[in-house]
Amino acid sequence: MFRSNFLTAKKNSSFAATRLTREGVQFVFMLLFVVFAAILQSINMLVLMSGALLAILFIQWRLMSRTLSDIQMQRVLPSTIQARRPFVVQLSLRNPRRRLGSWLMLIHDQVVPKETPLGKGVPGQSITLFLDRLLPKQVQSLGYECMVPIRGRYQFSAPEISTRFPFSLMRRVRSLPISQSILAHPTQGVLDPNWRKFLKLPRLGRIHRQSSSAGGDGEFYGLRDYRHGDPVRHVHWRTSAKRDKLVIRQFEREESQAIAILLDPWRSTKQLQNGNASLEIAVELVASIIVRVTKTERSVATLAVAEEQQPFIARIQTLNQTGAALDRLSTVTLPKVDGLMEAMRQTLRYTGGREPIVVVSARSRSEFSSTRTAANHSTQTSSDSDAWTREQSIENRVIWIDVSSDRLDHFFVRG
Amino acid sequence: MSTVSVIQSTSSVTWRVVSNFSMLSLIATSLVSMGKHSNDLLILVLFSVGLALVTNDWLGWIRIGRTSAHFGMLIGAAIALFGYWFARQSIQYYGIANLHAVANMLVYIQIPLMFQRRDPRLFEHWGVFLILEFVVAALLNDNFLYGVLLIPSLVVGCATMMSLAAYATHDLANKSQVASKWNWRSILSHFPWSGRLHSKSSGIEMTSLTELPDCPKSDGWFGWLWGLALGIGVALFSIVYFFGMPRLHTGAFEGLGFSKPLVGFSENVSLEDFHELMASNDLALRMTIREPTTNRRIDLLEPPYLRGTVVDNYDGRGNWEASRPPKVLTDVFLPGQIREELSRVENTLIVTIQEHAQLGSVQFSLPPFFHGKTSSGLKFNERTWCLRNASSDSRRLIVVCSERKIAISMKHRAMSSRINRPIC
Repeated sequence: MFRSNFLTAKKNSSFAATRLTREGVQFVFMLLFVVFAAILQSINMLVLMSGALLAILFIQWRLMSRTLSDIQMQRVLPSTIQARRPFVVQLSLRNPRRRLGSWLMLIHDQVVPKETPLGKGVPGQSITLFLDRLLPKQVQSLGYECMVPIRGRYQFSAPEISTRFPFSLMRRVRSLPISQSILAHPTQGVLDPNWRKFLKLPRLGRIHRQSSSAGGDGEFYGLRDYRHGDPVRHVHWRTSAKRDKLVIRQFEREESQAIAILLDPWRSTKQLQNGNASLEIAVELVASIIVRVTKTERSVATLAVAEEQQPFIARIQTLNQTGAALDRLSTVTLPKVDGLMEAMRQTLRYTGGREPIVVVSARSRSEFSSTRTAANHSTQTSSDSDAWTREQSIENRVIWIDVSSDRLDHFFVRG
Repeated sequence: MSTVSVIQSTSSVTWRVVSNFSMLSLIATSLVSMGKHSNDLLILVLFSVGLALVTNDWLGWIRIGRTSAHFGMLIGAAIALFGYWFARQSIQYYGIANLHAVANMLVYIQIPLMFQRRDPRLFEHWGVFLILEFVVAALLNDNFLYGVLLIPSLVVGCATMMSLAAYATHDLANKSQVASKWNWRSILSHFPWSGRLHSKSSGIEMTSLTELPDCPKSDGWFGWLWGLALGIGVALFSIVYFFGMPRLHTGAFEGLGFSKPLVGFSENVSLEDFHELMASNDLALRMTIREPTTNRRIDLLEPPYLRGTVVDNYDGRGNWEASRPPKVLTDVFLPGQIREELSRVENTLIVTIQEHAQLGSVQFSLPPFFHGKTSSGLKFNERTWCLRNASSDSRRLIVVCSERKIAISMKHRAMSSRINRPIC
């Protein structure tokens, strides 16, 4: 469930810096004054005082440096996160020293949006956690709850540990150079149990059989290599031992409710002026349908994304593939070219016309048709006329969901 | 964890740092009062500290802002300056009053800080004034007792600084946790005109799941134990430093003080000249006499009688001036007192004179040295000592005195009498 990276504050891999605090600057100024007065005037008590002040400064530097040295840190992130869903980040600190503890530590962690629909140059958010003390050979964990507003890739930058112990005259900062990134999946909303009825999806019945490792409700189909997420009970141990790698058994599964979802991220210039909200709704709806179909209904889905060059099309059967599909949806961006028609054509070819294709778009079907008609009129030939007819028949076969329409509210609630 | 609980949790750690600072303030003022031989400042600080702890930290009745505190500090400084000016006008003025005025000012400007709303910057200011107060106390108390009292002061000082570190770290963590939820962007984003500003915000929310401790474990008794250990360590270091530190011995003659030192009388005095005669019991110098071969210290039976410039030449018209070259007063001897053999004996003692009270108005003037390898022109007897062939170091004098066996044997009886008859 969780993935972790061990970040060890080794001397050769981490960056450490010592700075005077504001109190320290004032203290050093006073120290210089007393030392010079003591040297020039040879006043015994001033000499004694300057020695004491110097000792305080030296102890501050020495103890502070030792406090942070060799501290090891581990940051544990969840394997998957969703936008607008809080998740827990755990930081574990270990003091491997035998005698000296560490005190008054501040752990500074920061998250920066890396590839998100928010765009570039968006500032990140940071948090500072307080760790009172870390005794020798002790491990302590701190945690914080984080929530990202939108899907995309986020970077957890190098955490910093700092301390002012013992006198607050200096601040030692130790930075761990290893950073982690995490992909925030689109928020999954709530689909109505009768969502298929609202979309008027035809019940296709038993059309063909597909292999699946997760189902286990059909006949034995074959063997394949183990992938992350496959159930362990389906591991074929004898073959795994022969091949020296995990192999699992696949079973046939009825694919009675297979569906193809085509995401259309294209948005007109006018829509762009109103922000990204409709695209986000479309992405979230697609993610919700895919998870519903593959996880809850234990069926098969085909995900297609109309992108600029070549549409992304993938078959989703297993948990692993569902995760990969959500990963792909997390980084969907606005295309510069409208590639929906090509995506519909290829999706139809990919599914063989046996699955209903649901287009999820931020524009209406009529808007898409008028755009296509206008483009066709400008370059019309006899061969184009045939193509136009074929495209029209393809368009008529798909089920269209316009996320900006009120119809969406009947079966989908955003998370 | 709610924001309210985070804010409330700071009170305990604040209480500790305030009580430690108050204690340190009392100690510093006690040392200053010891040097001033007056308890007025100590009583004032004791009263103010008590009142501030009750009305500010406990009941929360008086919590002045930063601007008001600065205004109060200005008033305190003005009162101290007025007191200094008044003392200068009075006949009882004496040189140490400069330091007394500085001590008064440091105490007066601390008092408004005690009633200020607590924040880290307040303690920074308070700490600076406390260090300055310890410096002034060091100047006022140039004695062994101050050095001894410095050890418990260092223990309290270390514990206070540790509590300040705990408070400052706690305050930073507290601010961070509040800011991660309630930053100015999140507040401004509620306004309709803040669309652009809102669009630049990442909107990421981070909330600590770890409870901020009411009072860090590194404070309290732990802090006092650390303070004790570190205070003793600091004291040991400062003792080593005291004996190892190079001394430049730039005294009053070089004029490196903060004001031009006064050196006794001038070399001529005329009638109708008007000067203040300043009598002071303050420590002016420390003199040790050692036998150079064994480096053994020679104690005197009586305090040595030292004289500065002697205006011995009167011109008959109301002017006195020093003879040039200085005339040896002991030229006048009774018959039989002159011992010619002593002029050929050059048994030396090393007299080390260390001046004190450089920052005060009273300075001691050493007599001019007699330079020359021979002692021609000088007449010696057993009651005479003279300065001869002085090195560039003004405080390390080679003394030509009587023959060695006399010096040793007459250590307790004769040395004091010899020194009682100086030359100039």
